[in-house]
Amino acid sequence: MADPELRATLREESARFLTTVADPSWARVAALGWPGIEIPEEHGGLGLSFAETCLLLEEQGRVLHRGPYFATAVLGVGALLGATEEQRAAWLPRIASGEAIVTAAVDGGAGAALTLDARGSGPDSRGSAPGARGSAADTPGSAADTPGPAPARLTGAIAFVPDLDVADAVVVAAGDALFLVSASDLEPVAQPTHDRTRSLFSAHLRGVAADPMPGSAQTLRDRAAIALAADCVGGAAAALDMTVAYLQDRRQFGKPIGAFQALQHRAADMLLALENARSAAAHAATDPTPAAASIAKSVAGEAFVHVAAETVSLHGGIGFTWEHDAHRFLKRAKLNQAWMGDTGAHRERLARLALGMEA
Amino acid sequence: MSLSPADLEVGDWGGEDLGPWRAEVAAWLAANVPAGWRERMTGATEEEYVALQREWFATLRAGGYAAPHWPAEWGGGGLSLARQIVLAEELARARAPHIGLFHIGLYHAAATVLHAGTDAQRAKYLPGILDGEVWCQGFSEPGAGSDLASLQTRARLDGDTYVVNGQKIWTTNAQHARWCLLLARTNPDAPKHRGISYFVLDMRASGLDVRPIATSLGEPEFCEVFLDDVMIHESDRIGAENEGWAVILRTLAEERGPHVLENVERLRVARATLYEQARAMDPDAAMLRELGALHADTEVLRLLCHRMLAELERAGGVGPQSSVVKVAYSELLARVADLGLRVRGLDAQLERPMTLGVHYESTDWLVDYLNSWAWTISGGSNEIQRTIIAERMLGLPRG
Repeated sequence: MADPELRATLREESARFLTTVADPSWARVAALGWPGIEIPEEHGGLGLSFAETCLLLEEQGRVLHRGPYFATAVLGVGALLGATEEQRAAWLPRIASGEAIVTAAVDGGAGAALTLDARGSGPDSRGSAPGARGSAADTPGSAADTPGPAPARLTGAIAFVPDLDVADAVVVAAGDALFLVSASDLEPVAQPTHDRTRSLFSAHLRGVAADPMPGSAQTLRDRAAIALAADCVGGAAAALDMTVAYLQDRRQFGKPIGAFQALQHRAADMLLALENARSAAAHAATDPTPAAASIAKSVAGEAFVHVAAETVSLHGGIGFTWEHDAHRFLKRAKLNQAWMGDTGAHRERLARLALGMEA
Repeated sequence: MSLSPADLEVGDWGGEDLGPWRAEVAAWLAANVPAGWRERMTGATEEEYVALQREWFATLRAGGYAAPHWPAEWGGGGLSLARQIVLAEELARARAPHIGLFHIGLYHAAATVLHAGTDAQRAKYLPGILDGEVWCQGFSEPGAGSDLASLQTRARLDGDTYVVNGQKIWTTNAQHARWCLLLARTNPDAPKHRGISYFVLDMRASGLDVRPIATSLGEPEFCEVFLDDVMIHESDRIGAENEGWAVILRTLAEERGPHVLENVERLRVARATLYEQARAMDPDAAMLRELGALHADTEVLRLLCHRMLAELERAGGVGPQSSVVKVAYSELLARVADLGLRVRGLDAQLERPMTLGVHYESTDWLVDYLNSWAWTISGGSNEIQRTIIAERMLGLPRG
């Protein structure tokens, strides 16, 4: 983790940028160095840590930021940091400069399924450059049961892939293995969600060349879960601020409604939820163990939903309108809650870890 | 208790390598925690409980662990906050007896006289605390609970002595106490916060009637205290006359130190028993999810607690952040016990001899469940804490 001063500066500057520039282009975001925040300096990045990525995500959550930061800085970079030298050299500098966007398909929901086409796999495309195709050489066995870099072809569906339409490559999880696939081989189909602050896509893979990557899909999903927890903290904090301002401002029965204890205690519960989320997410960002990821995702995911739902309620009629931002927070919270392992899945996993049971 | 892969590694208190200190404390505890004390305390009488409390406190004192948070000049450990935290964690992990009988003396009374007392008062009271004198806290009254400042016990100055009349209630350990931190009204005409003075009452004074009240478990944990023309010398007033409210805040601030972390760690020890019992029942997915939620929230409570202590270290005091910890801890105490009750089913309904001296986690779940209200109600009920959070942390207008 970077020193406190640098973090404070990063927070201040990112907050200023995000609140003054509406819908910034990716080029402007990249000019700030954000996509390369964790990319080592030798690959053109800033060489900072995941905690700083999470700091930026929290600020983005506050303003319900859209754009491919989560896709590329969390998912793409997360997979590529552990990739082969060739893969790193091919992609990381281009991501850092903003020239390339790499996303990942790691949680496709119930409908997504992938198979590895064994007949299509071959030995000579290992460590291939961006966009390279796997060869058609016949090799017995599939990449799924031969771990390590052996090329493959992937068939099946991927879904809920963020920003696939603007991506140059996509990291695809098949089982726990990761593969790099050129986005030009795919036809993204938009999946409009109620949350319009995210841009999600599905695609069919029909025997596309897939460059095996070292690393585990579960680890990448955990990283994404922690990143979403940071997003939840930002979103919940902003929604609570908005609600407190309203409770101070809105008058009924001759006084600000925030003076009524029934509402004060609901606001206090929102803060309690936020404080829990903030602690859990901050810890996971600096020590991203599987348990920390599940704790952060379940606690922050629930907190954001609670705070956002109360934000709608406590604003009364205006909170239920399209005009007001309350529903945008609630919709993002609901998507976050369901994505990258829902609350129930994370809780069950935690319990199994705690009880020493088989996963 | 070793760290499970489900637990968070918390508490990098920087600067010092705490490993040797932790090893020293753990080794001392392994050698000194009275063997079989839980068995001794199961079905124990009140006298047996007091005897073990005294024995363990004397052992702690001999080891230099009785008052780790006090300055060395008053016989305390003078330990850094980081070392106090390690000690708190290890006491919990060693399943040492909880020294409930001496708690008010060690924390509330000591903090009060250290911060607001005179040197003469420090010299009069502090050594006795280390010698095992028990203290109680005479704050609440039948008409002054959450609204503490409305208290009506009167103290009238007559020459150099106050004459006190009134009634206190919920006074924990009054039946064992040598001294009492007493609040009484010295100016009935002033606004309610400005007419209160803070005294140390000698529990051997005449005119006192102490009547134990049984808790919902039938235990005489707290008392009613009736004061009928009880005399307190002027020199036993802490701080200026009518300025007791500021001293009260100082006393209550003492409920926020590293011993809160000891409580949290003790809750984790109880949680470990819950996990063993849950595993044995072959839990379904719904139960696993509840256990997972509980696990997450108890681990996060540790983080909240460490954040509060970091604030204490940084600023020398904590503000309303302590309300967050109090609410979270007390409600988790109830949740652990409630889940324990459901895991154990009818078996947990059977009445067993109670284990004394275990704080609030005996793992006799119905006992712990009922006891948990001691935490949601006392020390400013959770409703009061939520009001504090709303007004002082969120800045909502006063109701």
